[in-house]
Amino acid sequence: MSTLTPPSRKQKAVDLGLWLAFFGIIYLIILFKIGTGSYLNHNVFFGVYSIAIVFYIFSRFLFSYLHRTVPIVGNYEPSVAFVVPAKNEEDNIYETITRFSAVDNPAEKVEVIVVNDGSTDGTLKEMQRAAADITGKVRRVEVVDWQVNRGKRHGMHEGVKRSTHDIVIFIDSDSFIEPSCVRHLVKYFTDPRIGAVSGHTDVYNKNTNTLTKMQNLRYYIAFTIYKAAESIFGIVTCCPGCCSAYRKAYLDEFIDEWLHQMFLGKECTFGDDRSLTNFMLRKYWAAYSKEAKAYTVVPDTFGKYMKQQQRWKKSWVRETFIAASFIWRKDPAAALFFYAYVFLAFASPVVFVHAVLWNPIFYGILPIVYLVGLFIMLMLHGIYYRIYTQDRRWFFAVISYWFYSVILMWQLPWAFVTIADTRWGTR
Amino acid sequence: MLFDFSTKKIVFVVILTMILSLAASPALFAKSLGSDHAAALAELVSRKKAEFSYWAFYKLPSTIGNSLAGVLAFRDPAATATTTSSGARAINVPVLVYHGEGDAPTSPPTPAFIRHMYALKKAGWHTITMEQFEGFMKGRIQVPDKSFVLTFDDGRRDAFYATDPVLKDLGYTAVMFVITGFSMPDGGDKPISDFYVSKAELASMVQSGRWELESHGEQDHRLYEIPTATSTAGNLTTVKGEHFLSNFFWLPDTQRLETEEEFTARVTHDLAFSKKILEDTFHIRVNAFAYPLNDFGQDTINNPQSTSILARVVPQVYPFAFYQTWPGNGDSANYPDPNAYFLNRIEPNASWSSDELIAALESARIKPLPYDATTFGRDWNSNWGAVAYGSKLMLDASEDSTGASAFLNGTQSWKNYAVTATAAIQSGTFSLISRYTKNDAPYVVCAFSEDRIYLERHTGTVLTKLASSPYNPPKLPSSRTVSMTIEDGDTTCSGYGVSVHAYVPDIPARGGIGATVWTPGFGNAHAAISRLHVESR
Repeated sequence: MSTLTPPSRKQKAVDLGLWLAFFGIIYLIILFKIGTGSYLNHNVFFGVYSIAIVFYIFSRFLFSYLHRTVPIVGNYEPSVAFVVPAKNEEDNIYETITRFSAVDNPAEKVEVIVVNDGSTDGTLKEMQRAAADITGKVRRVEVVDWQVNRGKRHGMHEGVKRSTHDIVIFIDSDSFIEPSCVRHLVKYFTDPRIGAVSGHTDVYNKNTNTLTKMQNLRYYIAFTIYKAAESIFGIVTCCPGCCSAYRKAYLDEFIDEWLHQMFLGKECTFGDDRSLTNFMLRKYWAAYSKEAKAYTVVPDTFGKYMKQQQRWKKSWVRETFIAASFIWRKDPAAALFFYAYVFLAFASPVVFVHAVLWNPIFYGILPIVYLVGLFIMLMLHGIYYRIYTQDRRWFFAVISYWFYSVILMWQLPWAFVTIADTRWGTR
Repeated sequence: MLFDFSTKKIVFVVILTMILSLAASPALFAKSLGSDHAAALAELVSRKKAEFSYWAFYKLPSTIGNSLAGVLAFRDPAATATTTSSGARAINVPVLVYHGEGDAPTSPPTPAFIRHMYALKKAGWHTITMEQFEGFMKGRIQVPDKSFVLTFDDGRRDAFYATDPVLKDLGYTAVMFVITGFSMPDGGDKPISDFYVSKAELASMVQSGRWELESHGEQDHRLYEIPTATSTAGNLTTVKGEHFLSNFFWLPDTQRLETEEEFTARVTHDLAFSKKILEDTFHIRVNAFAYPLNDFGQDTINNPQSTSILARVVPQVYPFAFYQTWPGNGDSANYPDPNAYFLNRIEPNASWSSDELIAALESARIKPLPYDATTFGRDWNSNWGAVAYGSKLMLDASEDSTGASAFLNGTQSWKNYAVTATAAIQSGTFSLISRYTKNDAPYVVCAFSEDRIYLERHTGTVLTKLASSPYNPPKLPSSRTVSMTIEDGDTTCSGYGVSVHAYVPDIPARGGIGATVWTPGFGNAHAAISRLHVESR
């Protein structure tokens, strides 16, 4: 979060302390791994995991630091199309749409296509009201109304089909963009290899409760560190639906195939964004733009959060298998990290069960090292978050991040087991 | 494709990497040397883990439980009265032996072990060191009443890590009988497996002041393939899984069994090597040996003399040798005796409750004279027939025994005394026993049959009738009262107006009492002692 006033002397001192803590933790982790690693892990699997997880996380911080942003090129002003599929979003849809008229982009180069996907509330009315309000401030507004719900993927497909502009920007019906967002998204398309760009999304309702605060930390880390690290290779594995831009010409090559994507004999019904990125990555590249800011509304109850996470985990498993089949051809270095991450993701529940159930039950060894280790790793992320966001309640967010990590550890294996179940479970 | 390789960033990363690797290099260096630092760090982590789990799982819950119980309970005089030390001196000292985490009937799981220790502490028992125990046995020093020695066999890691926090908390000390060939093979730093403590761990045990190290042999805890006694060069038959200390080995070069001298040399070398390596490595005195696999010669397959040879060889290297005693093998605690080298250890069974452990130690304590019993508890130890306790001591032949016996623990130091017993006898010859010390040592028996009183001297294998006389007791089944008096060697057996007297040669100067009932057939003998009275003479 940038401020116009220069940081005070006190603020500088606090930041310095936090940076010292940040690198101090890295130092302690290295010391601990050297001192105890191989002694405590006589098993090759756990030994490899223990070392790999540290290298992977450190590599994320290093790569995100090395991530390069692209300057705005003055004469590059492609036309953009906002595509918003929505179902039962009467509360947020008006603001989502009206913000398109305020974007920092020539009005005659903006079109808006909103798809009412069988809403049963006043979403259509809100859409029409918003459309009326921005008419004249953009080149064209189109409201597509479907009486019967078809699914988000169909909505996105419809938007792409109807759009006439160079760049398609998908915005979730509960997400809001900053005026400068478009410029910072499209600037990456000056490179013809780029097919997709993910914006940076923060949590709109971060102050609702601990859960949303924790998600704000997770979003911040997921974008500024993990997506940035992926971006240096041009292989951002998921340009999320809340705010991402795609090159229309490239989309046209596979958008129909994508619509009817099959997995295990069934049409895919979720993880549409990750899957669309995956289609793009086969031939082109995907980047992350940290200046393209948007905000999204996140689940504020545990039940909703758990279901959303479960859906995401499932699409992660599916799309990771698909990506694994071609990523190695794109860039050997990026592929190494990609496969390392796949190993770590699938190993982590095993390590968790080993540390938290197996060892205490059969050997009386408490999972202190494991839980403290997990906490320290999250602290590392938390301090980073604190330095850049100035959020004073960061520590609370770290603790709940840790807590949710532990209690939701079963989700990935569960997603793997239930991968064929295509129901959304919510919404 | 979106790398930022600007000078500023690269310089920052390089400098940071240099600082971090410089800062971490001492640890890397220590690690690459495999030096004591890394081992010590690993040991410290293991120790802290064990300590934490002790405090979190046992100490804290028990403290909370106790204080809750204290708040809830009314004033219970028994709870406050017992444990204060009276300043009395111990007459005898029991030695307990544990192995490690429960994986066998002989090794209780850690929670049971901790309950045992808490119960001992609460009952006022406290450990003495091996050094104090040696002084006590030699008669050099006195130790307080309710002293015991806590020992562990094999040098197992789980035993060390799980029990050390308990010892620390309770202020107890312990003795570890180390298998030197397993913990530091060839004097090395690495044990043969993680199951055993390493040299570094042994060193820190010594340093803690809570642990003394003694010997459990060098190579004699392994199992060997042993030739049968009849094996010759042309006809070699071997048995696998046999013991080092109790058997003659086969000498392949000369195609024969070891001679007694070769056996003695081999055993002596093993015993002396283990002692020397412990003493030289840790700068300690090692005076005690625990027989590996509790075989002090009795488990031989080809050397019938091994028990007596070991009884001669072992004391030449170790002043003290420990074996595990069993019920009915005399007193289970140890009495001071300058000549004693073969010492009793009690091995708590995994299934023992804390009360049973306390009872086992209490029953081993010296019983003062006169002794009068109208109830009979577990201090009557038996290894023959079936024994039941209560207001009567029931001696019943079991289906596969011709009789039953019981020996009263804590009486081994009695000298001259008269025993009078009243027993309801169903069938069989009822006997009183005096001067009983150990299974194989001589003792005196007064046997009261249907029509005669016999005075006999027994050893483990030989029975000598010294005197007998007819008498006329009530016909069985009936209740009979009989007595036995022993003053030095002079023994008298009396019942129903008849006395049989004789001098019994070569019996221990002191020894305890017991009773048996016997018939020639299986499962017939039954007697119930309802009263027993002993007075000194």
